[in-house]
Amino acid sequence: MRHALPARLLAIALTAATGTAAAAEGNAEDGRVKAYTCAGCHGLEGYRNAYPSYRVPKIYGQHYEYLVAALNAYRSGERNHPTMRAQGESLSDQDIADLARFLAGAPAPAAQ
Amino acid sequence: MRTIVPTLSLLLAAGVAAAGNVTGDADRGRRIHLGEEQIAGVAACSTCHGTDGNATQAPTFPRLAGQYAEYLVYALESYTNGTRNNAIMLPIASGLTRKDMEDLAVFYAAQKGDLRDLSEVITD
Repeated sequence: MRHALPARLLAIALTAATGTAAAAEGNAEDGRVKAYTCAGCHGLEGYRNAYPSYRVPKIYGQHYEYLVAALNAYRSGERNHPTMRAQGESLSDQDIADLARFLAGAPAPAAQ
Repeated sequence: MRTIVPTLSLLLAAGVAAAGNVTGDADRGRRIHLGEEQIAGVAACSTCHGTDGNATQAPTFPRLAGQYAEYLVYALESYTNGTRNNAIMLPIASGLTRKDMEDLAVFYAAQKGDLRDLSEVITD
């Protein structure tokens, strides 16, 4: 009994640690669901940003670390893009990790 | 037509490539990328973005191979006009002319890589 409490605390601590690790790693399946919003611009054939006009970038197959940095930069305003800043502000750290993990996934078969 | 056809042939002969709304000299872009043509204050792009533009050596640096040329020109200009605040890219992009950016962009757009448009991945 004496050891029961510390064991429980340890279990809680481990759960907390695992939770943190999951946030840092990101979950690709969750990211796939969350990425439906991204597809509204990044998943439309030939979709263009307006003012200035350019094709919105390819983001699938990009590095995880770069995607996390870019999304954080939009969220903080380090990158000033009205649409992406608004998107970034709605994202939690977990959302960013999940999205980046999905987007950095194994490349889809080349279709071009 | 008389003037257009010879002009086009000249452009093609000079290796001018068009990607979207961007027209540039992809071969000159490659030389700048590799540092074969040096621009004052600009390190060879390949140092961080990889010989083939896939940035395999450092995941904090983006892959550029296969990216849309128009977006690459926008991104480079964003570093120079304050739209993007990035300590590494500010001095590099500031050393490039618009033509340098366009030449680099058409070079990267023509490289093979893992980047995909989401339309190829999320289809439903």
